[in-house]
Amino acid sequence: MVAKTDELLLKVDELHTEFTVGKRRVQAVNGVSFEVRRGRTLGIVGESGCGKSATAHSILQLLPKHGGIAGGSVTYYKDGKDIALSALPRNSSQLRAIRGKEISMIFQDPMASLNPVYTIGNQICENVLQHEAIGRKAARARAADMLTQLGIPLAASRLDDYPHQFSGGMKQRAMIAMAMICNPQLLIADEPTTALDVTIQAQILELMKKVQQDFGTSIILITHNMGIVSDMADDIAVMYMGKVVEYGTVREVLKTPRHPYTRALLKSVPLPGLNKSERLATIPGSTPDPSEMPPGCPFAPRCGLASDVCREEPPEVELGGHHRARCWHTGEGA
Amino acid sequence: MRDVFKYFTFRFLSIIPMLLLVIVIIFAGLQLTPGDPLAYMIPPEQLGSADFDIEAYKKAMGLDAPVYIQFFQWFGDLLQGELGFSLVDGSAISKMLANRLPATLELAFAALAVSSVLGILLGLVSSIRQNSAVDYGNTALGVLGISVPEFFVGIIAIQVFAITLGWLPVSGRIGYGDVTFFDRIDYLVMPALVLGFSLTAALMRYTRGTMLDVLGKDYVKTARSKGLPEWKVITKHAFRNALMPVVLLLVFRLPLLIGGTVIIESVFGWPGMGGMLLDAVSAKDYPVVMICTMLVAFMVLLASFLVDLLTALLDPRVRFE
Amino acid sequence: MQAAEKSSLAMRNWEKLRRNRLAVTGFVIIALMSLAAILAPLLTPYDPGAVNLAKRVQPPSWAHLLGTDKLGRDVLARLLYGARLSIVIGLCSALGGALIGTVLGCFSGYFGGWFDKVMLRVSELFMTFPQIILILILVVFFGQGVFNLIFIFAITGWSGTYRLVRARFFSLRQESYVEACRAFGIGEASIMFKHILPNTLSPVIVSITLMTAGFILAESGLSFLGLGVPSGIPTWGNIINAAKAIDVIQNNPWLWIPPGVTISLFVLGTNFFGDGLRDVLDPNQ
Repeated sequence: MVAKTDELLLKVDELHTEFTVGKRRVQAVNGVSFEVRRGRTLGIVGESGCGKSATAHSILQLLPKHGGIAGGSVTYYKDGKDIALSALPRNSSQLRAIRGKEISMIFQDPMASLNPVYTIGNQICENVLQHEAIGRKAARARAADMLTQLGIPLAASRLDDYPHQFSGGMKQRAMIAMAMICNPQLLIADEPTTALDVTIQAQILELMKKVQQDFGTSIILITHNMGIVSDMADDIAVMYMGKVVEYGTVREVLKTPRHPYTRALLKSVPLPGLNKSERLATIPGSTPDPSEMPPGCPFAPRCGLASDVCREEPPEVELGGHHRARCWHTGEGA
Repeated sequence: MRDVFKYFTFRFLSIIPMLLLVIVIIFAGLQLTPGDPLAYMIPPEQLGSADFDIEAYKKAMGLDAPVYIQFFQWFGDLLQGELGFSLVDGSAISKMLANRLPATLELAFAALAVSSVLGILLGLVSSIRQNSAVDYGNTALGVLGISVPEFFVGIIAIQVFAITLGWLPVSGRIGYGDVTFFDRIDYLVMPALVLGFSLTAALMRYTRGTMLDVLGKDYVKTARSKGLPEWKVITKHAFRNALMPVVLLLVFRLPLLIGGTVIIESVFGWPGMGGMLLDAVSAKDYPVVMICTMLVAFMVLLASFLVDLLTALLDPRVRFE
Repeated sequence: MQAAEKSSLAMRNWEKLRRNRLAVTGFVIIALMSLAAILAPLLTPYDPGAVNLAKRVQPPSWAHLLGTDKLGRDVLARLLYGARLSIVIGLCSALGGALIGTVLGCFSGYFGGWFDKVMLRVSELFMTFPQIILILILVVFFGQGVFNLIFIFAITGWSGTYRLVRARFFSLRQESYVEACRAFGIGEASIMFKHILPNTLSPVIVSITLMTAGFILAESGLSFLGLGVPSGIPTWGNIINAAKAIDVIQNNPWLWIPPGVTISLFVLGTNFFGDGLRDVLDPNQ
């Protein structure tokens, strides 16, 4: 088992990402900062539309054509050097050398993420062949090995299957195999279990833990599910309307949540050992339209603690360690 | 590859009932024509001789038999390549076809090949360079392709390239013989391009649309996330998937292309089946019309069979069905 | 209340249509050309059929803006009067084809079963067989003539609408409001015609527009071959029929450029309008 370290692997600083919708520009990510440390898992949680997926896609610049990084930086630390990923042109060879090799990514819907017209083996090998001087045969052996490790029986013979011959859970295993085959430092998983059956979800999450233990990979896990984060993550970033509203270790954030939104999220899901005695609550209201954002704190219209001061941009309050929250009322209502 | 072969065999067997249906329909059509329906099967030199007794001959040939027996007789003749004789000049239909069919096939295949390559290529460029000058040019071409009648395109082509510029011959075709391929291709260029014009435009529009659609798919993102170079993402992952619906469009457009040969052959004096069919229609030469129709139906069936095979080769999901 | 909602929906669609540049361009082209066809007697002093052997094959001049043809007939007059017939043939054939297709599609889509299976095969046959050759065969049997042509067009051109309506019926049959109608004991016929049919209307309107363009092209092609409308009657196709001879192409461009451009422009306008209409009425297509 690789130890959880404090060594910095990836730093996202004041990231802004914009999309052009018609003639308007929409801010999907609005000044997001966080760090990923070697061997640790960062969970990014938030409701749909909070910009967590856009954040993840910004790291490798895999945004759709009408989206792009508008400000801030993404820095990747490799052997003591730091590489500014956000400064590299999209699809440039320097960025491509990172994609799949150093940082790889898996997506929400494994059915849609695999190309239907190529065999699983072809698609997994493609990644190694792109990044390493290795023969087809050796690549195939690596792919089979990887699939076996991920619990696919008779892996060697299944390499010649097409995606439609795989079940949903097996497809996601194949995606993880594809992402892990070059032994990357960081795996970004964008809602990796949302499209799967509940029973399969647990298997995939266990698998990701195993991968992390075996390879020492850092993981960014994006999800809307607090339960998954509490189970998987070492650190948590809670996002709301394109901003990180609370950030800290799993202990800090789950045991002593300081942002009202985090508390509301925690109250809305059953978490083992945390809120057994309480009744589940819903968060009143809905997320505002990104084009009609209220001034100041975007959560104020739905917040029980909101006061006049919330019409001003809330400060980032340092709460000891890495723990911080973006709120005027971090001291209240606990 | 075994699944592909199995699929091929299955598809091939499944067109046989369609072939039979076409033959039955043609026979029914002949029965409906005015006059003696199957008299056209009698060789004209026998009809012409002085001591020819049509009733006796019919009896001998089984033409007075019940309809279903007549059908099998006629069908047997068909299988032996005896297609009967034209009512107008008494020439054997099989001979007429032997003269005309190769020209039409040559034209249709040339048009199909040129417009597939050109249409798909232009559509591809359009999708990658969306909203560029090339894209706008292609959009204009697409609009013209569905609006301008093909004979008008043909006439303009004759005026510009044959008469004004003198680059290409006005019309006609050189048969096979001891001329080189390049002597003959001069005659083929204009008819093939004009016949394929609207198909090119349609394929271009469609390829552009499906490419734009596919480029937004998750598996394209996956391909990029592996660090593949952009050309490989586009050719290997996007284009290959965009091609399948394009091939399906081809199935729907093929009849239009085959039908178009009638008009294009007339514009360019191309001595194919189209002209033969037109003459037969004008002269109410029913047997020739029906036999031509049958051949066209066969061509359509064969073409859609070939396209089916192509889709099966392209898409693993199809051949596992 | 319901009427108000309906009219507001119509208003909204009208607004959307007006803002759709493609649709407006198409509509203006169609409207202007149709108007010119209707007002033909006011726009030209000539009779389209009047033969004037003294003025044969004259190039454009002030007296004859688009020149005269081989029989000394004024080309502009023939174009204007020809527009009437060409447009009417295209529109009537499209309406006829759409009617046949809609009726068959209704029954097929609502009842399903063997009728649906047979009709689907038949429509496939019509779709895969080259329409122009089918039309040629039918011309042999029915003979040439304006009404015969419309009839032939209609019976060969229904399959597209049929499939459209059928598919719509199939998907609407599953919808909960149709289930609700059944639960309330509303009769089959009433469900079919009062509740489902109106929902198929907008795609059918779009397909009528696009079919009109197709049939105008088909008429011109057939008449160009000399097998469409009898050659004495002026239609756009019959006018351009003159350009089958190389010497006409070379020496008398006024005999083929104006009709060719006219056909192309009208078909272009119709296609624009149809595409725009589809964008407005069928946003999910």
